[in-house]
Amino acid sequence: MRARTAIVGIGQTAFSWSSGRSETALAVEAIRNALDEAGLTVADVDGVVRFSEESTSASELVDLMRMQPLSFSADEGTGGAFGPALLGLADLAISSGRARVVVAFRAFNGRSMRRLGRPSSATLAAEDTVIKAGGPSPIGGEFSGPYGLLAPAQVFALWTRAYMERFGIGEAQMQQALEAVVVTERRYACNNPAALLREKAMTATEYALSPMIADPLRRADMCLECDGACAIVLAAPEVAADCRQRPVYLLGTTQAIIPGYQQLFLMEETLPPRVPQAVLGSQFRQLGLSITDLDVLGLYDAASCCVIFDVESIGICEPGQGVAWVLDPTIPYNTSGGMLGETYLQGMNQSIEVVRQLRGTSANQAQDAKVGLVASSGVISTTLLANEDVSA
Amino acid sequence: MIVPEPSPETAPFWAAAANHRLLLHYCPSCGTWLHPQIALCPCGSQSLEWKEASGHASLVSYTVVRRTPFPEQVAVPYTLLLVRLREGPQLISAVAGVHYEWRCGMPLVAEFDDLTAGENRWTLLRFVGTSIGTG
Repeated sequence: MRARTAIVGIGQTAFSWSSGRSETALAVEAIRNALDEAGLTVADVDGVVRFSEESTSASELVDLMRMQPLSFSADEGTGGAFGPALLGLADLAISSGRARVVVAFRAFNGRSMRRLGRPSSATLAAEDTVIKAGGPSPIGGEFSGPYGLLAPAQVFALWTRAYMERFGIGEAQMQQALEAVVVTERRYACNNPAALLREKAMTATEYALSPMIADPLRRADMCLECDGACAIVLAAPEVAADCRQRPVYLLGTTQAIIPGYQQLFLMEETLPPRVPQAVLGSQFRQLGLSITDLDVLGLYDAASCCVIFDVESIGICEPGQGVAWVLDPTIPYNTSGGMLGETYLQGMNQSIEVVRQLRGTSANQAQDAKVGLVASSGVISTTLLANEDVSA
Repeated sequence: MIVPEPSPETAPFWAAAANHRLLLHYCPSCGTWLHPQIALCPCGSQSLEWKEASGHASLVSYTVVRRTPFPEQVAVPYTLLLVRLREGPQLISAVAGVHYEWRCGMPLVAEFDDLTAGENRWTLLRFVGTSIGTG
């Protein structure tokens, strides 16, 4: 066996438009649920990893959950680009012997408290008719905010238009591809009892009526804004052997923070920004696997267009062919309904769904799923998961 | 209105814009032009100068924005632009209204828009179509 870390527990809170609870309370509940599911207790945990913008620190969790002394804690970068990297960080801690049982979590009142792309900081206060935009942020920064680049949707729209131009994709073809992603994910959400839009399938006609936000992206193309938490428990294989659930092995993690990913205007990169294919390619080669071994995908769908770009970046299809791929996907993706239909927890919910697939317990179960790939926003980080240690 | 808040490093850019001059960072050791927020040349030099750019650009991408999270400050619709200056660096810009006649790659030239709101005075770059090639 080569994999040195397994996912042994997954947990989540209810997903809602307004939790009425603190992000800390959501984090505690999701972590507790994940430990229960694994057949572990708080006393087993010796590591915590979190996103850097998480509102609850590892120390606070130690106090609030009466954890044993932690031998490892660390933060990954912000948001959507680092979900799989967060699992990789837990893998580093476990495989190096620093920790045996590590909890990764994301708790976010992304609707009731902190809507991304909405006024939230001191410099962007909605009640002022004149607001100041400073700093290097690509959204609402000194060189973007004054021109009205203020929301993630607008960045994705600029990527999409440049993509259409480069590959000669017309309006109708692009709309058809975006619609296919939305309709697919919303159909999956209908079968997922935890999904926020479980009773709201979307037809092609309804998609066409969804209001345009930043052309060619409509409201239905954008991820949900909602409240909730997800947690994943990772452990050394010898711990996993005694856990309640079938272990899902973490075979490998990649990370490549590329120029131009955040700062679309600072760098002269081609849009959308692409991670070099060699990054994931060498990972597959090391493990003795190939793209054709993938049975299920968790893709970062902050907007539907990202699915199209990311299947190309991963190498599932050629650049420019993503618009055709989504009309007839060769690999099931975002089968929980993803962030368009289930919940927006910055991809942690995608990781949890791939675990369910590899256990055989998804509401939209893929046939004989053995190997799954979770990719972050822009494929900046990825994690390869499998229900047996298939690495060479 | 959304007002740029210059940092100590970018203040010369905004001061020049108020005088209708487009300044960029320029590396005299290798001849590379850089965005005002980039302080280190890829060649390794930190000795950057401010140098006036031509104002010629081409359109990289655009989107017609129809809804905004800031309805009090921003009037929709507007067309958000990503432009590449002839010297190399890219800038975000915008024009009011809906502009589907624009095409990626089309040549543009910079103009300056002096704005005021209360005590605040600032100048933004506007790009307009031109029949003159951008070289």
